[in-house]
Amino acid sequence: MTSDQRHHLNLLALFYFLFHNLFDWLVYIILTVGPLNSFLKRHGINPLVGFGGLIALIVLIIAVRYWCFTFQIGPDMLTINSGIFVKKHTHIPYGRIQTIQRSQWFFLKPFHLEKLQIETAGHDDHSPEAVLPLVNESVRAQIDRNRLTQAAGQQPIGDSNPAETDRLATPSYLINPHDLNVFALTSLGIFPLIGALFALYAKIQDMIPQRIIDSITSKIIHQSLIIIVAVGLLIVIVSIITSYLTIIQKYYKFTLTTQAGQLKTYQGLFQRSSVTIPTNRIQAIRLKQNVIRQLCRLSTIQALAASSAGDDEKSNDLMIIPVVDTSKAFATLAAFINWTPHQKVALDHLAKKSYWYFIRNAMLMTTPLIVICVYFFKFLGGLSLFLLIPAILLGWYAAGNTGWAINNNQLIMQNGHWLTRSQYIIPKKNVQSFGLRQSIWMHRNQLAHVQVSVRHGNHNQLIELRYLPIAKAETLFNWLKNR
Amino acid sequence: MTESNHLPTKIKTVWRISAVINFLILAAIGIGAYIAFKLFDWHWLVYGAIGFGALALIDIVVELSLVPYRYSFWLYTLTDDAVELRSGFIFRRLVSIPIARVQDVTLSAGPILQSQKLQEVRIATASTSHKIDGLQPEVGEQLRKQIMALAVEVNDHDV
Repeated sequence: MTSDQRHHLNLLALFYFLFHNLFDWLVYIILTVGPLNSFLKRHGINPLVGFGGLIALIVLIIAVRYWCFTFQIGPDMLTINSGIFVKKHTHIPYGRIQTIQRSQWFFLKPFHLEKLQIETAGHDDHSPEAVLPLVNESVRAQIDRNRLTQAAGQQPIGDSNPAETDRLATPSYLINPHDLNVFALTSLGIFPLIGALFALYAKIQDMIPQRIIDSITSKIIHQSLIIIVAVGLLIVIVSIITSYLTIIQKYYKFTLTTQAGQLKTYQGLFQRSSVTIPTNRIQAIRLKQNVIRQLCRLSTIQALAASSAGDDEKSNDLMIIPVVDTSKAFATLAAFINWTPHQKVALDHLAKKSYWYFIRNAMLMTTPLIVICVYFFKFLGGLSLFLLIPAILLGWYAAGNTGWAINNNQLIMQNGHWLTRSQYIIPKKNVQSFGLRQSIWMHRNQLAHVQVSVRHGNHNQLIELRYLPIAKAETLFNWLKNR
Repeated sequence: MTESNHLPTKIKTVWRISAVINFLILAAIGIGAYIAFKLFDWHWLVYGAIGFGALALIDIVVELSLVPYRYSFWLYTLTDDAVELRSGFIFRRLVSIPIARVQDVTLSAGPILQSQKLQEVRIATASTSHKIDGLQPEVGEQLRKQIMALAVEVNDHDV
């Protein structure tokens, strides 16, 4: 596979094309059933033949699409050709590749087949620039080899197989089962899940005919409290178990390796997926902890990159180390990325008197809700005043976790949002633009917000430090300004 | 050229013209709704007509009265290696765009800007995009030259 010759996907990709658009096909079939049936009757054709013909047509379309989808692994670029009527050729020079993401379902492992998604920094599209739905594992190895060869400007590295190169990779990190357990148990993900399940429960109750509910309630009216508590408990337990299992299967045997300036992650139980990213393409590092993990002294390390490859379709967060002891976070990370600090950097924090602004804003956020409650429920609505307590706590949390530091050529910014603390380590060269904001009242109080823009996925990530003393804010601004 | 500059004074004319055009569009919709109401006797259209009429009036009053405010507090600075944009008085904002980070600069001019011999400048980095409402073509050209000169220094692998 070294020449420029066109390759087809594996034959099994026919199934991928079929299932990928299964819904569309079903819609077409349902739409055509009526007209086709009457047409067949009028001409006295056996319906079996007619519908057989329709299915044959669909299979033919899929086969043609498969036939038209080819890729070439050239010496300096990857070319993907697709389309039946509108011919599409995507050319991706190896040097422009940001991430290569591969995923492999367990049932494809014996066939050595996997799905490849290749991303560049181009930001026209939400989907990856190139998707090879089902190809042999050797394709990735070939692309990797060409990429490294081109990057190093050397002779080809020979036909070493991927397993061998993986073994040579050093250093490496493997998540340990205990950490993964704690990680899964301390996720705040159960809260949205609990909400969703309660909503589902309400929906189901709506759908059951009133008659049945009436007959049941009459039987259990005296037990209603027990029932409610039991349902509530059940929902919480199911949420916890679901969230736990989701996380466990997602990060099962998470491994991170580094090799020739690239980071490579492997993860997953049913679907092993892997992301490869060159270290110098990482725009910033983010250390994330929710409040429970803060107490357990565990951190999560993610990378911000100009690629939408991530462990979650929405967030684009590229997981580097899912869970690590906070005290060892920097030491662990430094083994993989050479520019990060080797140990925790002492941050500047806000003075206690600035906490008020955060608390005030959080309280203002809840005010409309309280006003609505009081308006509609009168005295009982007054109970909504208790919402101010979590608001104050959230404000306090956000203020208490605001921090910043300048470390060599990096800016370190830390903030707290919704009980999650994020610390960003941003090399100066990756700051796309930066600014100060203040209202006229903040001007009077000598305060300003500092905003820094970093490329993240296909979008901009604005990282903000709020209510900094103006002198500190200007120090950061001027430091960023000096090239 | 490191001192802060106001936008060219002609930009006020541009803003005023575009405020009037916005007014005319909204008013036209309102009047259209009123005519349709008269012709077809669709009662709900009265509210549409009143709504758009009110919106048009509010829009033109606010936009025209804000022109001097916008003009006096909208400043740009072109230094050797950065573009700084400063705006607002009640809500102040200062943004700095290192020229080394700039990916592309787009100069464009619609009919209104053309009539005043100005160009809108849009500066895009790998993640953000910033707009200067109107600049003289010479300034736009200077910006373009500076960016070309500094672009050489930018590492291919930065993004």
